[in-house]
Amino acid sequence: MPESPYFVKIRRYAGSIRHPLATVLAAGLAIHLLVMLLAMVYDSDYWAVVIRNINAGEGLYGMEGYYYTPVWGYMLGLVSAFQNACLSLGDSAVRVFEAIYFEASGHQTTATVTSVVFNYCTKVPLLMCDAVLAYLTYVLVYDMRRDRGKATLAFALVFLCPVIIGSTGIIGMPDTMAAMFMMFSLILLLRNRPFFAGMCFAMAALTKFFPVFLFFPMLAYLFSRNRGDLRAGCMQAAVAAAGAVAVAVAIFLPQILEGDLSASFQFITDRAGTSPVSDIFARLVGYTRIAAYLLVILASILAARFIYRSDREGLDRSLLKGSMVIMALCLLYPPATQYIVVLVPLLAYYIAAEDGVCMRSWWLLAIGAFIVFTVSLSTHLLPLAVHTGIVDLGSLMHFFDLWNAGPGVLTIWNITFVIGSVIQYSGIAVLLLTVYGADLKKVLEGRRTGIGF
Amino acid sequence: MSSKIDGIAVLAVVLIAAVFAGEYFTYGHDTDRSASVSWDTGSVSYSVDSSGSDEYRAVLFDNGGYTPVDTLYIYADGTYDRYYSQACELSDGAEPLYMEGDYYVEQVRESLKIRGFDDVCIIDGEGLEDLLRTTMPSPSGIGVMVISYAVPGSVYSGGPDCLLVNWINNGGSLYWLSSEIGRFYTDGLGLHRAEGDCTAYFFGTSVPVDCSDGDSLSYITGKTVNTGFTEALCLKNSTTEFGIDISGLSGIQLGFGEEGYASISMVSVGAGMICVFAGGFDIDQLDDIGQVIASKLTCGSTFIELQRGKVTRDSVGGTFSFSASDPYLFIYTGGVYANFGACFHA
Repeated sequence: MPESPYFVKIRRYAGSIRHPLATVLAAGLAIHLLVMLLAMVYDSDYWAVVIRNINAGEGLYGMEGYYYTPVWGYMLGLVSAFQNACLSLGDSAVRVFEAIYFEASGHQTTATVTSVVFNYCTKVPLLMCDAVLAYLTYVLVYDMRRDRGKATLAFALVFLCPVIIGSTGIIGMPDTMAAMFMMFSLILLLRNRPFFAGMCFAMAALTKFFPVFLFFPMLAYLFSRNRGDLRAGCMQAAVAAAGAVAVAVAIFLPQILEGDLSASFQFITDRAGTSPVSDIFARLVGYTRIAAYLLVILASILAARFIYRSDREGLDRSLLKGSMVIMALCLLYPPATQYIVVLVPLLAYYIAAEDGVCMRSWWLLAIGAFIVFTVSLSTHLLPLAVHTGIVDLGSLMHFFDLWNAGPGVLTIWNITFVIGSVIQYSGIAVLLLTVYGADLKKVLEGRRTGIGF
Repeated sequence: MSSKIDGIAVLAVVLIAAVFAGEYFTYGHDTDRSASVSWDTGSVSYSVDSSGSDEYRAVLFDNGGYTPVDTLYIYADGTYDRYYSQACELSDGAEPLYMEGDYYVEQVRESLKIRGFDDVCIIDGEGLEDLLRTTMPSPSGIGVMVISYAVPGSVYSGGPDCLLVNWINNGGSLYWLSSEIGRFYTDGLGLHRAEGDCTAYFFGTSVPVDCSDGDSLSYITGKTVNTGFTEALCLKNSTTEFGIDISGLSGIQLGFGEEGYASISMVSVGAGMICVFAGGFDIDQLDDIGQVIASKLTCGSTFIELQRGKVTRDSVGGTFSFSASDPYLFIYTGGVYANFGACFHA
């Protein structure tokens, strides 16, 4: 059959693209789109509940189901509008009676299984964020090094990282949005655009909490850049604050008007173990988490001090290194895999532009994430089994049973999870040791050192 | 480093604008949904409209002459947190499940509201006593929901001859959630445990309650009861903790169950009804409560037929033929994530 001339033209054009980014982007997109067939049904069920609540006119907090600050909820609102205006999905999910016993396992899973199309609808915006996040890392490395090879490497280290692929493609968590806006704010700050940097910083912190710890380092950077001109420093800080406040007010406007602003911060109390029925263990975990984050705040103040004292030539690099270290410190309190997403672009920058030795941390994080994501593969495959029949549901149930068989807690599921988590954690520890190993050695040998960020 | 127009800044603004667009669609834009029916002798035609993309279900059933609840009073227990630990200590088997104060009460109201059931009032202990006294002569069509492990001693104090039980026998409907029915009551002296078989006070006979001292997860089951209603209403809560076994009683069970216990049990008591929702306070239970009450199910309901389909920015309809004497038609959209509902009676 003769080919259409348009098809030939398109093929020729596609074949003429030689930019190295194109190969990485195409490979990454293919992997992302394939992985998105899987889903952590526990979370996708919640996203479907949130969309239902929006559809029913209850906003984000009128009915039970959404426990975060509003940014991701608004993206789900956009997804809902798209579904209503352009698609005809039918049921978003079905309750699979045969799999209800999965819920009795104590793992975070559900037998309410969202459809493959629904899952793609919620994950495609996150995939776009992944692509932008990788591109921003590319831009950052290029800005700093003027080397397209290094910049392309950074792009690949982000876009092909299993932490990113799994967080978006399987869990469907918005950590990549937070990381993306965090990178926007850093780049725009380096480019001397404080208003936009402030806006993006607010978006980042209001998507997922971690970037808020970059407040002091970024402030120190502003004042250090204007050293000797306090008025200019104050002015830039005020402009950045104006951008951040403008965005925050706009984001929270519905909650302010409806008087349920506190619901937006429920995730803080949920994780603090302060419920009247929290047992001692839950309270201990909650208080330890608070203590850990107080220590991170302290570390961020120290980082800010170091950044402020940096010389003009090394100031940008100090900010980026300090930011990476602060994000890594946030994760010293054992993280869920998706939390690590905020570290990946800064680590990729550091590997490509500063110190390739940190590649071993990337590998450890990648391997750890891969293992953790495969732990619950039997439940991740549920949408494919239930809505397409490509996988047999009975086989999945057997898979689930096998993974949960064993004496007490010694199941394949638990053991694999611990192995994956330990590898992930060692990736963070190795990163900090790589960055500060030499200083630590001096300290241990009793010599003076100027540990800096 | 900075140019006159910074592409990165432009991209950032575009993405922030996308979030704000989502904000508009979350709070500033409504999807219109409605349903209407036309009853005829032995048949009913319905129409469902949606300006969005939905799956609808039309559930036809017969209430067999039982009057459904059209006004619901939710008892908000102001002493819930104060006595919760004590109630746990005094419980023989499973401890009452915990919920967050007035929040869950509001959630029940919202769950009903989106399904078209608007006549909901929240009352305290005094309000409950007042309601029971004033409506005692004819409580038919009125429901009282107890979202607590205890009721005020002024309406029930651990015996069969009390305001609450008499009110039910006169035709009122009681909805009980997530604890052993009738085990505790409160008064000015504090929390009291009702001794003896408290189910007999309510049902007139001993009724087993699924509250052995097991892990909450052990009550989960995937076995459906009354599969017609369970599938038609997309019921989700699959735990039987504090559910009851209604063998030998007049009533129906819905949802999921095992060994006689079910996640939802509706029992005829005198001229009234008691409905027990098992399991903890969660989204699945909230949705089930919304579905059961908004659809106007009673202890005498019999499933007839389900019709379903897509309604996408359009209006669709259908017709049922039936021979029921007391038919009801509940139409809702969203499936397991119901976002609209309307109930019609011939």
